[in-house]
Amino acid sequence: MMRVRTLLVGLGLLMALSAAQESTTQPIPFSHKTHAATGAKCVDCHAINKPGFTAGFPPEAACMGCHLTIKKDSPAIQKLAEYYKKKQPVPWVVVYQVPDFVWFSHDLHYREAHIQCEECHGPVAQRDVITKEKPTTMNACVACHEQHKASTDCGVCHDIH
Amino acid sequence: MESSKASRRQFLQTTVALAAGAVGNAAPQSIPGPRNAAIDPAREWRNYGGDAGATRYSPLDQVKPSNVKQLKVAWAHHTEDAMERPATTIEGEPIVVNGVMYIQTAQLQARALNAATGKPLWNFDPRDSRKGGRAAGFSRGVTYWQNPGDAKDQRIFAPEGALLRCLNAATGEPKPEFAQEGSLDLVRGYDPDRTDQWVRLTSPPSLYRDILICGGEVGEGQNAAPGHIRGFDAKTGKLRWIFHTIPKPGEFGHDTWGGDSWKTAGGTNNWGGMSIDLKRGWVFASTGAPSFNYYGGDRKGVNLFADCVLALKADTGERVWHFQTTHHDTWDYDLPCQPSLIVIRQGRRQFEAVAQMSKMGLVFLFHRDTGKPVFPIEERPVPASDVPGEELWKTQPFPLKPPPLNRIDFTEADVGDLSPEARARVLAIMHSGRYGKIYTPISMEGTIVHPGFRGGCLWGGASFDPKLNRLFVNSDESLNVAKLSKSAPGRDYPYDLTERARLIDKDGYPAIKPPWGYMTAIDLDSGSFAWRVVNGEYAALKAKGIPKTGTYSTGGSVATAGGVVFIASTYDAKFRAFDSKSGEILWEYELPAAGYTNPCVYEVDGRQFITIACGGGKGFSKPGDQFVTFSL
Repeated sequence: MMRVRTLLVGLGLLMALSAAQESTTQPIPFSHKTHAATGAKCVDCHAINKPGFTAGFPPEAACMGCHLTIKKDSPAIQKLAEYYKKKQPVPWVVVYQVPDFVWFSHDLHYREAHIQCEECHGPVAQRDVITKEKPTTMNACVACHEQHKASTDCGVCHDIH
Repeated sequence: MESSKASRRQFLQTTVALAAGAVGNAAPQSIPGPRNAAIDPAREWRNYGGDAGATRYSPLDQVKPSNVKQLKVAWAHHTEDAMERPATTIEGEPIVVNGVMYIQTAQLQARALNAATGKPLWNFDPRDSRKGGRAAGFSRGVTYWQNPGDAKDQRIFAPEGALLRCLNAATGEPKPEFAQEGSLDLVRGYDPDRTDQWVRLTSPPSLYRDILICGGEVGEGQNAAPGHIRGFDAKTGKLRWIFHTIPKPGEFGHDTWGGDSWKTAGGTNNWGGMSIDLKRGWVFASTGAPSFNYYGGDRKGVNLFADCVLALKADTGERVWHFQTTHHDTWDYDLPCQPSLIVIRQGRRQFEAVAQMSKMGLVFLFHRDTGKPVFPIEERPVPASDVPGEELWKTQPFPLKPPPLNRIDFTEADVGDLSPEARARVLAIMHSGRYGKIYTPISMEGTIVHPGFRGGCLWGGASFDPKLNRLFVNSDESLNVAKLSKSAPGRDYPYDLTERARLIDKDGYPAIKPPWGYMTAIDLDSGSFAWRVVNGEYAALKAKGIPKTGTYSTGGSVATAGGVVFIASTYDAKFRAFDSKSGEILWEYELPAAGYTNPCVYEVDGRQFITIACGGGKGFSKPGDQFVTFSL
C-alpha cells in the first residue's frame, strides 16, 4: 500500500494543519466533561448520518430540551435560548477538520470500522474546553490506517485521476 | 411529441448514425450554413471528445473572430448539489444528442437538459444507493448508445465510481436488462488472480458498435490493481473481452516484467479515456504508469504496457500495435488523455495519424496504421538510479518534433524569484538532493521532479483543426519533490515514498519562474509551433505589475471551423476564445466558478451553442454548480 506521507499541496499548509493544541473560543461556553458525566454519548449530540462527511452539531431544540429548566438563568443558557428563539444555529467553531480535498466519512469510520471517537478527537469527555489535541494531518491518518490494516492507497481518501 | 413524428425522427437519426459509422471518422469538414442538427451528428457533440476519434473539433462556424465578442449567456443550469467540504468539482464534458444535453452533476447525478434552453428533462440520482463514506468522486462524462436493432432503445451510460449505470436516454430510468438491474459493478470478477482490489471509472466508456470499452482508475501504491481494458456488451453488460495491460504468462509483453512482478504490480491503466477508429474497428487507449509508481526495483524491465499508446481491435481486444513513451516509469508519467485521431497534411501528402499528449509535455505523433512515428523519436541515454535494487531503463524516447510544450530541464536559473524565501527553500532542496533534466532518478535524498506529476499535459488533451492542420494544447509547468525511504520493518516492499509535495512557494505559486501555463498551436506540417501564448493569470500578481504568468489548467480546449478555439481550465476562472490562426485572445468571460473541463460545441435549430461546466473546487477554489451555455 502506498505510503505517501506528504500531500499534494504546499508544505506550508501542512505545517499549519499539523499544529496541535489549537485553542478556539466558542460562542457559548460548553463543557463536554459536564455533559458526558450525565451519561450522554458523543453521537447523542453529534449525529452521524450517511455519508457522514461531518458529524454535525446538535439542533438548538435538543439543547433546550433540558435547558428549558436546567440552568435556565445562566447567561450562557440565555444566549443559547436567544439562538433557539430566533431559529438561528449557534455558530460553533469547528475544532477538527480535514482539508476539503479529503473524502472522510464519520459513518464509515464509526459504524463500519468501529473506530471510537476518542481515537481522532482525544479524551473529549474529560475536557471542559476543547482544543485540538490530535492532529488531522495525512501522517496521522496514514499511521492510523496502518495500525488498523486499512488501505493507505491515495485513492481511498483522494480523487486522483 | 406525437408518436408518428417521434418514429420518423428516430428513423432518420438511426439512418444517419449508421451512415456516419459506415464512413468512419475521417477528418471532419466544415459544413457551411445552419442545418437541422437532428439529422447531422457532426453538428452536435455526441461523444466525449466531440467525435469518436476525440478530435474536439466542431464544424460549426457561426461564431468567428469577427463576432465572438458578441457571445452572451444563453442559459445557465444550476445542478444544486455542489459541496464545499469535501469540495466537489465537475470534470464532466456534456454530450449533445438529438437536441438533448446529457450531463453529470457535481455529485454525479445523471441529468438530461434541453440543449437549446437548459430546461431539465429528467434526473437520475444515485446517491441514495451509495454506500456511506465515499462519494463517487468525479466523472468526465457519459456515453450515448442507440441500439441499431431497436430505434427506441437509446441509452446513457454514466460512470459512478465502481459502477457503470445504464439509463434510458428518454427517461433516465435504469435499464434493468443491463448487468444487475442497470448497474455494472466494475470490481466484480475483475481479475481472479488479484482479488480485493478497487477500480473506478472516471472517464466515460468508448463505444464501438455494441461494445462498451472501459479502462479505469486504480491505485498507485503497492498492491494496486492492474489496469485491464475491458469490452462489455452494451445490451447486457456481459464481458466480451479483456486486454491485460500487465500481460499474463504466455501473453505478449509478459517478459517485460521481471520475476513474478506481474502478480503484484498494478497501474498501467487507461484513466483518461480512449478514442475509436470506426473505419478500422480499432480502439486507441493510452495508459498510465505502473505501480508502485516511484520505485521499480521489484518490477525490472520496460514494463509493457505501462505508458503506452495502444491500438487494439475494438471487437476482440487483440493488440495491433503499441508505443511506449516512458520505459520502466518511476516518475508517474502517465499518458493522461485520449489519443486524438487526426488527419495530417504534409506537403501534398495526407495521412491518418494519432496524436498523444503526455504529462512530460512531449507530443507523440504516429501513423495510425502502423504506429510508426510521424517525426523521428530518438532514444536518448538517461541517468541511472543509485537506490538499491532500482534498474532504470538506460534510454527514454524523445520526439525530435514537435518541441516540448514546457521546459523539461530544471536548473538554478529556472528557480522562481517572486519570493526570496521560496527561492532560498528551493535552492536548499536542490543543493541537498537531485535536480536537472527530465528523468532525473527519484532518490532517497529527494529529487525535484520536473515536469511534475500533474504535467505537462493532463486529461484535457488536444483539439484539432483539420482546415488549419493544427493541434491546440494547453500545458503547465509544475514541480514536485519526491523522496524515497526504506520501508518500516515487516513490510513486504522495500521502499516508501515519504515525500511527494508539489513544489510551490508560500503563496501557492509554482516554484519555477513563470510562465506556468501555455496555450500552444502546433503546425502538423512542419512539426513546429504556429503560436504559443501564456494562458491565464493571477489577479494578485497582475496588481503587482508582474507580467502575465499563466496558471495551471485542468481541462482542455475545443477547436471550431469558425476559426476560434475555446478553453476555460485556468485557475483564474476565465473562459477564453483564441484566434486559431494567431493565438490572439479574442474574448474573455469570468465564469461563476472555474471550468475544469472541456467545453462542448453544438447546434440546435441553426444556432451555435458553447457549453462549459463550472465546477470549481480544485486548488482551494470555490466549488460551483453551473453549466453555462453561450451563443450569439
